[in-house]
Amino acid sequence: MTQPVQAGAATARPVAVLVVDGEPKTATVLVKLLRVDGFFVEVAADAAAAESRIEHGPRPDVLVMDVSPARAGEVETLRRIHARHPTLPLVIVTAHPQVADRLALGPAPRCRIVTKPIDYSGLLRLLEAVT
Amino acid sequence: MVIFTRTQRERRSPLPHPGLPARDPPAAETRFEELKRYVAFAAEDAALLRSFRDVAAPHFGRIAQEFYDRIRQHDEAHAVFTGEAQIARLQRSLVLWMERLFGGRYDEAYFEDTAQIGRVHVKVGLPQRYMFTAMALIRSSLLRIAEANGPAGLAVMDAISRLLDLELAIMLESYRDNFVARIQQVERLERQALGASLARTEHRYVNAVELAHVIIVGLDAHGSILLFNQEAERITGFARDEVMGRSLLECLAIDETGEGAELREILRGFAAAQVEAREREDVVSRAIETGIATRAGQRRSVLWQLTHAPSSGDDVCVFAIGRDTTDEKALLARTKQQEKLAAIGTLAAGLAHEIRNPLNGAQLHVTYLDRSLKKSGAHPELIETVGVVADEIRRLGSLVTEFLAFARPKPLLIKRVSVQTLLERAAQLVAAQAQQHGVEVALDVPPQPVEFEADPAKLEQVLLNLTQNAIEAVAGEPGAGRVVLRARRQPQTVSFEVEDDGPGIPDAAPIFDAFFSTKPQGTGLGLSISYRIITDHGGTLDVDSKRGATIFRIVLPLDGPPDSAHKTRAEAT
Repeated sequence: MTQPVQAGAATARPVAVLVVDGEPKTATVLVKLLRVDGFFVEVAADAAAAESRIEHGPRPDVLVMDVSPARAGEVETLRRIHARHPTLPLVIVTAHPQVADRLALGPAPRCRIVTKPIDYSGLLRLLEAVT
Repeated sequence: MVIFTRTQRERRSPLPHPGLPARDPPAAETRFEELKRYVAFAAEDAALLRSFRDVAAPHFGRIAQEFYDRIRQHDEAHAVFTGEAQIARLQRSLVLWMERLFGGRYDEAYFEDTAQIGRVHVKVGLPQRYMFTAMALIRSSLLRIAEANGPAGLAVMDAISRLLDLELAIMLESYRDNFVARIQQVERLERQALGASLARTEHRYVNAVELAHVIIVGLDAHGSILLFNQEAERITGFARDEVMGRSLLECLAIDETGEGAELREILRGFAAAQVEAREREDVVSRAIETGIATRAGQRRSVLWQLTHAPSSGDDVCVFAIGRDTTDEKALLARTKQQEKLAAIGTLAAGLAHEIRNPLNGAQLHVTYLDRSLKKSGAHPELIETVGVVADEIRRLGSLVTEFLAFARPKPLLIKRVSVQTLLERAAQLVAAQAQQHGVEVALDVPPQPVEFEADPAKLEQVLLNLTQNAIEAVAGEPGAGRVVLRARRQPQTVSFEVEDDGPGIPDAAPIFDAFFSTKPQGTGLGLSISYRIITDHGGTLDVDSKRGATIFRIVLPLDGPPDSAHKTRAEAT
């Protein structure tokens, strides 16, 4: 049902993805799938951890982040990351319908919003498009 | 001053007293002749008076002088006159009058002269008592002269007396004429006042009934219409003369809809009370809502209050006061629908989050499972089973998305939109589907371009939804297979119609309610979303349906949603 994309085939090193998801089981299976498909994947448990990781470690090629306006400070953290690193591609995964309006990222060509449930093959196409 | 005709005078003349001397009354006798007959004034009297003239005449000046001297001594009588100039003039007139008395000719001209004097007395307001006393003074002066004339004077005295009685009688008649005229004038004024008062009262009541913004219908005991005010004409479309004498129930096709049965029952009760002429305790009914049909056949609902007004004969005995509640009810229904939508919207946002998160986990795990099964060369049946689960998860995901679109719609993006373009696009988008089902889709648009303010994407969604529903309704129906997309421009609005010749919608089906669907795979959200989009535009979406003709009608304001709607939308996001 999904066709693995040979990510990183065009580049020398694999694409580095930072996955931010508060749900460990979901995060685990997503990481497994991405790794199988040739991505270099790291996981952060929440937005604050992700921010710290981006500031202190090597910058990932793309940030895949589960965002909910219900979680305090998450939207603000994401906005801050985007302000600091406007070229960092973002794939925002959300269950909430109005997250795009709340984020108000302005013109961000390398930013995509995906509505849950994630269609994995669709996600792969997006990752290819933004990196 | 009213001058009576001869006939009137004759009719009013009193009959002679039976004890008094009388001759046979001639066939056509004047008032003067009748009076002369009464006082027995004959030709001999006339001759006597004429022959006495030369004896009396030298005294006239003195008599007149004495007469006015007496008046000068009497305050009240003197007050009748305006001054000495007038008295001098009247004194000369008195001399002439006395010369006339002895003129010997006592004909109709004489009568008229005396009547004229009488009228002048009336005119100057001379009280009758002074006329009597004045006449007594003159009489006594004249009689003294005749008396001094020896035995021959006796007959003259009689003649003088008779003539002066005649004079008095004629002049009194003037007072009577005046009195009658005054009474008539008073009566006429009273009549006029009464008429004016009645006219005023009528004017007030007619205006109150005619200008009232409620339906006022008056019925007789048989329920026939006797009164039908302007508002009744306006609401029902019937002209007064079309409904007069006809039954209210038949005229307005008041059937059992709503509380029609109750209305009939109350009318029967009032009619019975009227026929039996008994008092009812409940003269005013409670408010009753019924359906009516207008002249054009449109159904409207009216809230009635019936009042029993006992009357005699065939007059109005029931007043039906009605208020058209159609628009009010529609507004209430719309408000209710909006409230329902708002509640669903709140629920939806929370629910979407709760459903999408576990669905996300499930979806990713199924993807992983699918991959692993394929990799390990599992039985195709197993792989297919997992595929079914994945499809179901996706379907559930789309349902949530669709439900959110309905419950928490995105703000409208208002632009200038062409009616023709909208309908042409809708027809284009359904062309393949229509062809597949053998359905003809026809466009009926005005030749002149019509533009208005709306969100084109949202309206396209609505038109598509309605057109697809219509195609599905007629597909496979024997004898059906035609869908018409129609647009019309009205002064303030533009209307769209999607008409099909399918089997129609069952009565009372809550088609605009969320989750109501007649299709096996339907979510029951399509029409709800359409309804919401149209009401967000400040428009209305209605349906008229019968077998072979179902019309969905959208009416939108030409200049876009009202400002209040904009504001609400802005706040909602």
